Amino acid sequence: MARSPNCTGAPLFKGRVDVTITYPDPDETLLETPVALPTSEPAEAQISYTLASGHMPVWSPYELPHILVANAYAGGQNTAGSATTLYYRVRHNGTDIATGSGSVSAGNFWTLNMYKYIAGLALGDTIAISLWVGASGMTWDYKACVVKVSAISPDVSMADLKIVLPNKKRPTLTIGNPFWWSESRVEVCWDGGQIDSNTLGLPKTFTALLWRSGRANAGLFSAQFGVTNSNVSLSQHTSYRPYYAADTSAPTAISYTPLNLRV
Amino acid sequence: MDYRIKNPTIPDQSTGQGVMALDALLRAVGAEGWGYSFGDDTLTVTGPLDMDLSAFGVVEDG
Repeated sequence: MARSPNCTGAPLFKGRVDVTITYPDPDETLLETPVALPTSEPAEAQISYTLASGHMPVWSPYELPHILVANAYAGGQNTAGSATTLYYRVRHNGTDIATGSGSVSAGNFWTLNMYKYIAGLALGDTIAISLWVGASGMTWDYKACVVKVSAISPDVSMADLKIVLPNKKRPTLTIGNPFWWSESRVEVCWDGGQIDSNTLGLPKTFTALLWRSGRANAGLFSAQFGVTNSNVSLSQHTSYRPYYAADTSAPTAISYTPLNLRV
Repeated sequence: MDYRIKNPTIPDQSTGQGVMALDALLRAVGAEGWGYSFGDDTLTVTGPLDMDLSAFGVVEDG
């Protein structure tokens, strides 16, 4: 009798996968004295982070295939008596990844939010932010950086899947406030679609008897920032600094039994 | 409202002067803010409805 091409001859089940993921507190600095921004692009970026282990999520006892996203922030205030344009340039390992500008109203605090997808982001990489202004009177005094999980993508069929999803903004910075849309969706994915966090209702332990991870990029889990929403944006507020972009947190635990199935 | 233009026709963004020149061009047509991604070669512009951004390329969505 002909053998099904889907039968590998190997046992149907493999050993159970059971991992936890913890996320570091953001690396934040609030300067005691605000620093004036120049009116032309500075030769050296005012803010530069070299990604260290303390910035990274920690997987235990091992990592699943995943994509990282760095969130970096800069903040300050327009102390001038009129609206002023703030310009920025963001570099990754010395290569430009974004430029832009925005007008900051007189007296307002501003925040630059970097949540851009960078392929192959890794320990030791540098993220640098240069800031300058159209007219004097603008200062910066705040910076922060953290690396998050943007997507988790084990390419397998699985049984008895459990994904522990807390309900916590990431990052949660110690000062300022997140955007109104900060609790934007994250998604549990399969190879044919996704379920967003509004539908799931967080916190939640998502469970499924049988599941298939494998959608390009997203795989099993996809956060808002990084692969889904890759950007650098400028926000401002009359009193919040930082007034920052955050998304709902990534899983803290994932467990499943991989299946030896070809699909 | 956000507008996205892939492969835009814009001043060189590798210098501060280029960034400020693009800013002046965009503000002249009513932009409130913008961002350019080198990796994606994509310009994102925030501004009012019905902005005429045709000088910069084809608006993808918005």
